[in-house]
Amino acid sequence: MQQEPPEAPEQSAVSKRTLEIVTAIFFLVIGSVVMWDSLRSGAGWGNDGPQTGYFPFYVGLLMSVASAANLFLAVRSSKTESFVSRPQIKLVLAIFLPCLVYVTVMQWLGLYAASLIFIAVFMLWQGKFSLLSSAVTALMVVLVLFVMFEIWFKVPLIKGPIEAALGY
Amino acid sequence: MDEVNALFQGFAVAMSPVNIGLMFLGIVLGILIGVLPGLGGANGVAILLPLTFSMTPVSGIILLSCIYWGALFGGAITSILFNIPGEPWSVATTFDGYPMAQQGQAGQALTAAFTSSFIGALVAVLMITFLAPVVAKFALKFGPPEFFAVQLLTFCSFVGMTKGAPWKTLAAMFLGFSLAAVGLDNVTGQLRLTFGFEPMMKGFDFLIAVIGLFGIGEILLTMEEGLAFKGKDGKINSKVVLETWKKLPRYWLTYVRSSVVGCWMGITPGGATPASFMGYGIAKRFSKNPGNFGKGDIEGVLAPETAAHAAGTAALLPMLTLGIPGSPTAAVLLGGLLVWGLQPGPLLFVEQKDFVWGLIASMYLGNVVGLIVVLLTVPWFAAILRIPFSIIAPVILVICAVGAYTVHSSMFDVWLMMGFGVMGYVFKKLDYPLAPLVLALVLGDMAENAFRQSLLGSSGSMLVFVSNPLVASITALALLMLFWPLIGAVLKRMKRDAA
Repeated sequence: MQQEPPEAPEQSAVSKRTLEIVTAIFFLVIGSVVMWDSLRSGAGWGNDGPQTGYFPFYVGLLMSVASAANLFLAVRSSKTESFVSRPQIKLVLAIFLPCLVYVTVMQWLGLYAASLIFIAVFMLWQGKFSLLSSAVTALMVVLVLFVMFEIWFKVPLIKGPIEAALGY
Repeated sequence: MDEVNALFQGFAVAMSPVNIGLMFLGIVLGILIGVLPGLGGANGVAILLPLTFSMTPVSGIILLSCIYWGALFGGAITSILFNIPGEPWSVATTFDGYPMAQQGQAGQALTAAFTSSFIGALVAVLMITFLAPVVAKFALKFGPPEFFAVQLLTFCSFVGMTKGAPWKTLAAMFLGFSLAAVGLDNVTGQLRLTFGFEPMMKGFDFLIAVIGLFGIGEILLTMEEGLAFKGKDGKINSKVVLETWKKLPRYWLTYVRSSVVGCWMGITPGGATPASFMGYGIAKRFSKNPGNFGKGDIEGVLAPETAAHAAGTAALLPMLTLGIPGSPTAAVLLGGLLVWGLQPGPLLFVEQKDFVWGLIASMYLGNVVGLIVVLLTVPWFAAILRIPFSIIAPVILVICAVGAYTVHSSMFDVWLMMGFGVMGYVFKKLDYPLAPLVLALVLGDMAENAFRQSLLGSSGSMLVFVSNPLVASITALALLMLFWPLIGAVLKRMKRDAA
């Protein structure tokens, strides 16, 4: 990255303790859902042996127990450590949000066109490269991908209207 | 001497021009993956797995395993020159490698690291050559209870051997098992945990999880640090190499210790990362002048590298003989076996001799090729790290997306990968271990089948897991591992009270 590493002392965006609690609850919810679904599909002993939910039920149960322990430990801890600082989360979102847009666009434009735009825009915006070098770099990456996947290994990637117009 | 004959046959298989070519390609790709942040052994192999679908199994596994060796070599480059571990198992290499580079001894440090990696791998391959057939023959007698007990041991070892919080290891592991349960239950034909949502019916593919957790998660973590690569030059010439090689034999005892630690940690699923730390710690402990460690002692480079590479290689032993991988990367290779239509497990040694021995022979050749390639190409790979991260980051994300898409040609998988990416980022920062999650996702169905069949045989009695001396001792060992954190704490307290 071109940005300087964020300087200390930094403002914390969210504390580690909060995220520990949230993650433990996330696990607890999944554990409960797994148990509930296993009970729905039968977690006992059927005519022909263990039912569908037999094994997953215990998986869900043990996951819930483990995450309850994690939750307990997290709630009890008095640590005020930062999980991520504000400047840091800005950097993370600077790549994550464009990536979400990239995947959304991919559904309509196909992988090649979306990748071209994604790489070029990110280089322009975050790397402060010139329009020309961004476009050329992105085009080269996409061409290499195209040759490797469509031509050499014959693994088709998702394509959109542009490839269709070019006859692919 | 059956093994030696079989091995020579394996060399005949592995030495075909195509396979040698794939070996070079794999090593170069692997080093590249090892050097780049966000691409590692596990997700690098996962992304490239679809490219091997059309190859023969032997060629496919040679390409993929060489990528793995390459990644093991590559991790050392960034550690020594940039003080940035390209892979988690090369963290310990930075302790003395980077100080050496600062003192202008980058060439010596790199030579020592690569040579030690090579020696570690060689010891592990020798062990696999002679031990694997024995283990496989032994495992042929295993029934479902024994298999489940071995699985139990694998997972309990994670709890016993991971330094982190045991509850977090357990939670991550069971999340993996839960994800594995999603989809069609192939015994009863019922749907589980799909909630009527169609794309969930085929279940979660662990390749997607690996790409998201390790790839996207790693990029997010790297971004956070606002990376500005400031590194040393990686100049290396034959004089430096030869001089360093002359110095290395005097550390033979360190090599022995690190190799043993590495092999052990590789077979039991400790993995390369803890092995490298243990190798470093043991070398420091036995050293005549431990004060030099951390200031640029060559022994501090060779000890962790030997252990990491030995562990990385030894992780293939349980994968080949029992179908239970010792590391996430070995798990991805196991996924490859299934794709190529091979059933991992002891029968491989009986039914797929060419495949098994071709792979083992390629391990010898691949590591020789790797050592040569890596010594010759270090400066180029070091130059790659000077490419600004604002180019590397989007390109790697694109590669991850391509990898996720090619698994099933499904956009849903790409979204899933993003979800796993966020999980990987959060889990890593909170010290939830990712390896047990991935291994549980891979082995979940196998473990469940073994469990069900065992219980069917015993009409539901859990006593089947202690019903004969063999299965009982494996189960007992597993329980010991599971409760190790507790036992360790009690022992510590007793020691403290006594003192």
